[in-house]
Amino acid sequence: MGNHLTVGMGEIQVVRGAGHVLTALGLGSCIGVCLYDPLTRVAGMVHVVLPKSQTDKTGELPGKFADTAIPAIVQRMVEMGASASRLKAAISGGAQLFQFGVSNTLDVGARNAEAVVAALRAAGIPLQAKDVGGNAGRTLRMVSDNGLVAVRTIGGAERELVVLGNILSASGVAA
Amino acid sequence: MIAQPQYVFSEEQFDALREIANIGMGKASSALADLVGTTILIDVPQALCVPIGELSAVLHDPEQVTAGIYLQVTGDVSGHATFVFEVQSAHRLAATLLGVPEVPLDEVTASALMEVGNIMLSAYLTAISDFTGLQLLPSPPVMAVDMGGAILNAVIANMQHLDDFAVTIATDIYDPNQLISGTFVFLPEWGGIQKILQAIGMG
Repeated sequence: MGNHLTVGMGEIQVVRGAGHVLTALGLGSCIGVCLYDPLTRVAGMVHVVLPKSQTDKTGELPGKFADTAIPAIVQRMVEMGASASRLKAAISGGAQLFQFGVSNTLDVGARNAEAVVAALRAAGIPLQAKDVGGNAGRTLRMVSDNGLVAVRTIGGAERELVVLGNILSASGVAA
Repeated sequence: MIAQPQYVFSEEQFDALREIANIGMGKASSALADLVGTTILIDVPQALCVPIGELSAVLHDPEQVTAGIYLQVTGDVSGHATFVFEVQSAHRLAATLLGVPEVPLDEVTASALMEVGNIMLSAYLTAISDFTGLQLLPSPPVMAVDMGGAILNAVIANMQHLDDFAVTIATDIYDPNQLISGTFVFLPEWGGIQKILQAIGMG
C-alpha cells in the first residue's frame, strides 16, 4: 500500500516500490535531497539543515548535516535493495529567506547547497536537477513510482523539476 | 535513530517556562495594543521539547504564507525569538500603522512591520529579563515573507548547537475580530533554558 511520508528537519525517509510520496514542507535555507534507484524503485529523501557536522554536539540524526546525510541515506537505500551505482539525485532549497533588514548574515542556504553538491560528488551520485537559492521557501515532493520530483513555492503552482526514473544517461548537471 | 534529549525537563519546569512566556507575552501584547488601539488577546503558552523535525507543528499551518520577524538573543540567555503572523494580518497591521486603507508589502511596509515585531519581541525579552534578573539582548530584527514552516526552519538553522531536540515556547496572539493573528516562538539554546530555570529556583 502506498502512503504519504513527511520528511522533517534532519530526517531521512526511504521507501521501496510504487505508490509512495515523500514530502519536505517549507524548505528555507535547508536542502531537500531526493535520491532514486530506477530499477528497484527505492526512493529516499533527506532534509539537510546545515553544511557540516558539529563535533561538540550530542545529537545523532545524521540527516541534519550535508556531510553525514548523504552517506547515511545511501546506506539506508542500499539496505532497502538499491544499488549505490544506480542512484540519481535532485536537490532543492537553500534559499535566503530573510530579505528585509539583513546586513551581513551568513548565507546558510548557499553554503548548504555547496556542501550537498560536494557530498553527492564525493559519493559518486550524478546530480540530475537542482533548484536552489533565491529568496523563496519551497515544498519538495517525490513520487516513488517513477522518481518524479516537483517543487512548489509560495504563490506558485507546483512544477516538475525532473523525473529521475526517466534518465538514462549517467551524466549530471554542471554543479 | 534519534538520540534522547540532552536534558529532560519535568512538568513543573515546563510550567515555569509557560509562566515566563505568559509574563513576556503580557508585555508584548500590551505593546501591540498600544500601537494599534485594539484589545489584543493571548492564548495559554505552549512549552515543549520536540524533535527538530516536528518543530513547525507549533504553527497551525506550516505551509501558510506568513510574515516572520526574527531576532537573535544574546547575553546571559542565548536564543532565537520569532513572531510569525498571517500575511493578511501583516497587511492590516501595516495599513493601521500607516493610517491608510491598503498597503503593498514593500520595503517601507516591511520596515514598519519589522519595527512592530521588534517592539513586541523586545517587550517580551525585557519582561523575562526583569523577572529572572538575566540579560536577554535582542539583535536587530530581520524579516521574511514566506511559508511559516520555512521561516521557522531558517531560524532553527541558526541554532549554535543544533541538537536532535529543541525546547520551544510558543504563544498565539490575536485580536477579538481576528484581524490580527500570529504566533510568538522563543527557542532558547540548551544552556539558556537551564539559566532561566536556575534563576527562578527551578533548575
